[in-house]
Amino acid sequence: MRGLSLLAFRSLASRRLRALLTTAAVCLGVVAIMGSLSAIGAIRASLERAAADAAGRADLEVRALAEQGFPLAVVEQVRGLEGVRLVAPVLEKRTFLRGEGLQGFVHLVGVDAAAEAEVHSLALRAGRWPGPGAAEVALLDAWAAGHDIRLGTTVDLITREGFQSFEVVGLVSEAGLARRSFGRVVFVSLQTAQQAFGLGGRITHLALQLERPAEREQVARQLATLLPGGFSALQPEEVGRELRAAAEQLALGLIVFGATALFVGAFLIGNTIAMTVAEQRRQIGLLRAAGVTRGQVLVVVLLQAAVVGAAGSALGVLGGVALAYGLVAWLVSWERLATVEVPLEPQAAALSFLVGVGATVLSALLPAWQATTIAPVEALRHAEPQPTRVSAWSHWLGAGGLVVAGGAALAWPLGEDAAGPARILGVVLWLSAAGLAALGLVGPLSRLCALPFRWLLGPEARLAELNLRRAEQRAGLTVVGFTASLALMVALAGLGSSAATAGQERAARIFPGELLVVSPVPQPVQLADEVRATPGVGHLTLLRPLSVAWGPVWLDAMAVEPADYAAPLAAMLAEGEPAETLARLQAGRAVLVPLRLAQARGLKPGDRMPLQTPDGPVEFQVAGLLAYSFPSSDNLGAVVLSRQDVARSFGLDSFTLLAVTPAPGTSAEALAEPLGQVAERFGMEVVSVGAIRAAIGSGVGQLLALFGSLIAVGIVVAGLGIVNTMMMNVAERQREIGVLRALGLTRWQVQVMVLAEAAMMGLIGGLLGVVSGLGLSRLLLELARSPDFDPQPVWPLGPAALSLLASVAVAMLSALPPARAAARVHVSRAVFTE
Amino acid sequence: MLATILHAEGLVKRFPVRDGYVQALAGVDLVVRRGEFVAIMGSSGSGKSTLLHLLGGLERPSAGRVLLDGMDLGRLSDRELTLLRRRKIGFVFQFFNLIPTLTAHENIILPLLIDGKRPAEQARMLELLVRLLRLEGVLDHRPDQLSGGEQQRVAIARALLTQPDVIMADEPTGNLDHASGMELLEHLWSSCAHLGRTIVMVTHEAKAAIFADRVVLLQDGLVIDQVPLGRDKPRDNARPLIARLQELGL
Repeated sequence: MRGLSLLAFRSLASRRLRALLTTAAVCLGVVAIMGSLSAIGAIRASLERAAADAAGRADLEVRALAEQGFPLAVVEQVRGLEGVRLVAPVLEKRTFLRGEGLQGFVHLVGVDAAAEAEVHSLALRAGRWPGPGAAEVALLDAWAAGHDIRLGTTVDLITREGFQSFEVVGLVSEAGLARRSFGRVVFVSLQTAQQAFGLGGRITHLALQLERPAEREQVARQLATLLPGGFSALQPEEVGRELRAAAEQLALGLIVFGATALFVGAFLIGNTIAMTVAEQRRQIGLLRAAGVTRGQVLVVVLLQAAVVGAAGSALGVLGGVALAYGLVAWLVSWERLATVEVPLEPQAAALSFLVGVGATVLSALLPAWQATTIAPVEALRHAEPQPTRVSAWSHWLGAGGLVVAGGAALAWPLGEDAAGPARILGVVLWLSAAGLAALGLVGPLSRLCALPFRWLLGPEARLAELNLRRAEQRAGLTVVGFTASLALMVALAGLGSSAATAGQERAARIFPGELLVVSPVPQPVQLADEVRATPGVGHLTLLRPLSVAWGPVWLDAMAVEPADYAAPLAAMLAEGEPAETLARLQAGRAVLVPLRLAQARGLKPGDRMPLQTPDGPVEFQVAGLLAYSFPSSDNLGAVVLSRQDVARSFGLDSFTLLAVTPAPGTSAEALAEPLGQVAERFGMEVVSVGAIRAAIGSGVGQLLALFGSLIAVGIVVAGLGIVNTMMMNVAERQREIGVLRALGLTRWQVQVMVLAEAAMMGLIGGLLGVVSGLGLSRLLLELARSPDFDPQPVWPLGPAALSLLASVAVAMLSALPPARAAARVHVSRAVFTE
Repeated sequence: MLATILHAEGLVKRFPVRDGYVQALAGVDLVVRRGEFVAIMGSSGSGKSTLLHLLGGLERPSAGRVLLDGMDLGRLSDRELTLLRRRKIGFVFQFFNLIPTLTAHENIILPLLIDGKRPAEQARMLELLVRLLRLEGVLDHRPDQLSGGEQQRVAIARALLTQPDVIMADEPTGNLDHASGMELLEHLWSSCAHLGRTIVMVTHEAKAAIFADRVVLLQDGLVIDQVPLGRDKPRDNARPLIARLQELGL
């Protein structure tokens, strides 16, 4: 065994550049995996902490059903209940903040600082808590630092009196509420919140600590007799459920795209080991002649792979932690996370290391097995390295790959039943099929892909094409890297474009009109008439988001004017006649339920839904199901009620959104300015639906950039594959290059020849990648399709063309070192020595 | 008197080694006239291949100069030297050195392709060479489908197609059997005698050298003698050449 180890190490040492390139490929693959796993760990840890912080040490969270909340006097009564140890009253509101170079909606939290610190782990990092009734605020320290806000800075908040200035007097450490709102939290004293928002002595929820947590039920029963207008009690463990669910999709994406680099690296490793085996035919033959068994040959080859795999994986684990910090910092900069802490998990490190070593050894299995089949006599006869030729079966293999991909596309179970692991399997199957196709189709495709180069370059391209075809298997294994990476890149672009387009179209449909007037607080309906009187306003409809309690479940709801929603409803309805459904909604005591919510809660048209109102439970009938609806915090979509119902049953005759359609002959751009002036008078803001569409596109774009960066690591690994293959090709073809130089091929022409060969590989890999990527994007779209996500496929032709160019460019850049080496070949030494 | 096509003056070539350098040529003077067939002979390590590389512009001398048609090769840039090799020099190698991915026909026209010219420009010459070298039946074969003799005939056709000023042949019969070797030498002799080509051939075989007009004898990097031979009947040259070689102890 010791002797065999020595052989393996000597073999690696004698091919340092190749060993280095392979180690780099493994390293990059493991970097991506470790980075993804650590980033997922960070995201989960962040959300778990957010959930835990939100629940804090409260045993019961009690929310008011009515918009006006509970009267303050209730707090003292609840404190007096048997079994209640502590009561922390909170007033929560969304409002608008304006500071230097900063504006946007924030989550305003009015707290009793002493009680809140007991329940929700709030810790003051600097300054002090806002004084009772004072125009003072405390902010989350990380968010404030990110926006250059310090103690003493003044910010403006919209209150019932319009914009009012508040001084920043405290900086608070991250807390649950802060995390849930991505850091945009403004703490004020309870009294200030009550005065500023006209809620008098009222509060929106209470956090309770009990003497004995097991007595929740008894305390809740006592509360029922005490609290007017109804309430909903939430147990702490339910708080984080939604947050965790939201993180799973992101984690799935990171895992799939993080594994790309190692998938690509596996082909590079296999190719490298195959080349080494080809070079060592003579040595292996000698060993076999000297009595080394096939098993021992296998061990020598696999040992080389394992050493490279272990070195690359160890480096990759370290690099992965650094990548995770980068990914998490990225997410923080998009305000999708509120923390940069990356947990160093030994399990993730061990898993990444094992996956790296395992993938390396697995990739080396086939060439190692080929090494065991070398007959001693044959090896001694053919001393020179023989590039492996691809036989006819490989073309069948390629065709088989295409059939498998096509079959997978047609036969895969689509729709909601396709769970996360099934999607991963679908991607892996598809990429494997594309890889097989790349291996088998290199020969035929090289003829096609050489055409533009021959037209552009002439004889150098012809020589490059012939060189490419002489070692098809090597070329095939090299182009697979590009194929797999680009397929994912194009698929991602396709999926993203389809999702963004669908989201944008939906945004345009659910908000009739081109402009939205947004109010941070509910406004009386009479105010809508003032806005309607603005010159250039054609039509205006009122919208009122609210929360409704259905038994113990809180649902997001939207109150709409049914008459104004005839056209949007026709597009939003999952089934049924729009006119009939609209009539039922208009008749009252009716609700439209999003299909996903209906499926999750077992609702169907005609069912009764008792909703809690300030006057007790009122039965609403499910008038219809919506394929999609307004966004909601549980991602199931908001239920839709008529404005009249909401005014009658919930006492909420107000609006927070106005959807405005410009009058004929007036453009949205022209109307925006006068409308903005009117809105500002009432503390409201004008947003164009176009801006919302752009924000959706930008959000999707950010996510694509995150996943795309992981795939880019795969493209870099594919580039390393080109370096490796072309270095080997140049080394094997020294004599030919010397002959060509002697016959008059200039150094430049030699470089062009090598670069053209690499470019053809890039083009072949790119073409296959783009074609399979377009198919994969369709497959992923079908896998993700559901009743409320039913987009039209968008073919990402622009990104596909860019990917193709990038593939050729990366291949050529990677081939620069081998091209230079080829140009430096010493003519007489190469040609005149045997 | 024929014009000088190739002129070497005081050629010195040293190769660096770990402890200093090895001197392959110690000051060679040589004149080759247009249309002449010159053979360079010498024992192993005498510097004959190095001399051929310097004359063919594949290496640069450490001292001295090579003039090809009056042009000092040492003053040319790498690109100029490459273009000169492409247009004025043809090479025939011992190991044939055909490009394995190209057919015999493509190998022959390779110098034209490299130069960006259309094969049609030399169609008559190609036809003549194919006929003279009896390559009609193997033009679409790849090198691994050809015998050694066929491969070397293809290499000669490749060297002659562009009608270069000089053909440099390095042990062209070294890897051929006797019959193929003789046939090849007759082709070279014929191209010199009938097509007016200038040939410089390195060989260690007297039976090959007898086809030349003159044999340059090298020892320890120096020209020790030049033996003129008759052109009409190469076989008649054997006796005087061998006698001279024996006199010099080669």
